[in-house]
Amino acid sequence: MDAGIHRLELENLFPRAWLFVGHASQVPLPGDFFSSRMGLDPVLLTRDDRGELHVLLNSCRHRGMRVCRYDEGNTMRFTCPYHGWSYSIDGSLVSTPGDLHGVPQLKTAYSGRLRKENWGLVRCPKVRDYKGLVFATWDAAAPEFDNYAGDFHWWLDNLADAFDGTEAGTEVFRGVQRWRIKSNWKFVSENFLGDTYHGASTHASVEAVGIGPGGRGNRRHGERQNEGGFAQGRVKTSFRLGHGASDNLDYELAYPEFAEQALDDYFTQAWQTRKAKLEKEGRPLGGRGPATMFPNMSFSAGFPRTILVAHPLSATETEVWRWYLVDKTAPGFVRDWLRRYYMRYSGPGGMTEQDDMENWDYATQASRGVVARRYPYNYQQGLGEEVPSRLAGAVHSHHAIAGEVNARTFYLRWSEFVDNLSWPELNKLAAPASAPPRVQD
Amino acid sequence: MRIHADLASCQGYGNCAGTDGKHFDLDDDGFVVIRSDRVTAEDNQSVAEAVRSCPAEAIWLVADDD
Repeated sequence: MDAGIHRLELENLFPRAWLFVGHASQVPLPGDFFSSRMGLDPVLLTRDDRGELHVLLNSCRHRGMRVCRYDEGNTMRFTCPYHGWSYSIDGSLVSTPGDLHGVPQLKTAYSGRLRKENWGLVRCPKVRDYKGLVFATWDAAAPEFDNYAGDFHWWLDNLADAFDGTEAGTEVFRGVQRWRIKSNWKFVSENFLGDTYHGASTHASVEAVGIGPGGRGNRRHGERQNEGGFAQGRVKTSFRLGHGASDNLDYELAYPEFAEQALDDYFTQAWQTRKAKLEKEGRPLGGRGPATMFPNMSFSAGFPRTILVAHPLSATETEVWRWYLVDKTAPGFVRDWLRRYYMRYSGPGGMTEQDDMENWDYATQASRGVVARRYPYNYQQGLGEEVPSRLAGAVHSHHAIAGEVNARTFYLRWSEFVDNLSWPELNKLAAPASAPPRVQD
Repeated sequence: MRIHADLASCQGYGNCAGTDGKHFDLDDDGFVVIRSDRVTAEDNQSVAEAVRSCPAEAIWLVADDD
């Protein structure tokens, strides 16, 4: 709750980490753009005339004016409304898309002395389109995305691939939900990276009314009601890199049973197709999360299939953005069902999300006081009982719904970033003893 | 085709003159002056690029009989 810590997060964490910016399907054509956020910085995810993606700071180099005030659209040129400086993303007009293209009265006001090539929109030096999920970082010294994600990528794969396993087979529904909560952003990250402990209590009411696809008597994520909470074999996965998942790759859970026959048939078929494909590749079938990619991109790759980014407005307020994914080839009746399911489950109107938001809000408020802040939270669950994983740089919890190793590791990594350890130090701390980096940095 | 310039839209960016000095110049106030509004076949690409480069979309080509 400390403003000083929030300041350090803004200075040392968000400008250096890889952050989720948007989905490639939001900017399919040259000239398409989507207004997004990285930390507190407004950015434009754009696609240039050659089809390349760029992430540009949405702030004019002249006086900082927000160059583009639309949520999304199509243009090859961003003209600042304040003094008319114009930036182009047309590679045939400027040497690098995002460069300064036009300055009114350049000859008379600047005596021609302004060097346009030095005043383009600030850009993210590294942008990665990972199967449609677009990530970017401001830090040229950051490791390549594949090394930043490490073996957590299997969860990103499950998020980006279609329900039947088709690689990069998803797109997002039009429309991103954005709303604010009076909570610190880390409550949000922590919730999804491996807090399975809260499910039985916080979400008791939505389970009771059968919010999941199977309706009453079926658990919302698909496990059977009579299997004592979670089926055997499920544990959490915690990455030294800071990422966390509520499940493990070997925990194979078929898609839930649906009350409607047509949907049940569709998803049963999808599961069979995916199973056949992955078994052929020797890949385990689990890993639907929920999960969080360090620091603030959370998601669930199952039911619902949705991405959340928690933007850190202040130590006590967060702006949450939600994207919802659907298979590119999903027929209308599936899209319709998913859309309604997503709305009743997640987002500002979603029942399950509201259960969580109540916790985050009240926890923040109850922790703000001077006396409250003298007493640290308890993170001892499963301490010392972590189980090794065959995944690089990862461990598992000792239990399905218990074990707070994911949160402990998240905060360990968080403190390393906030304390401004250099990338060589960060890389060394997270490097598994034997495995080399996956990609040459 | 010949070149038409809309002085009401011109903001003095100067991109046109910078791209095609044969057809475009700037006056003392920085606004566009058309040096030659005739566009021959060999000039086509250069003029087209100058037209495209104007952020204010203040210059365009019109057919000769307009």
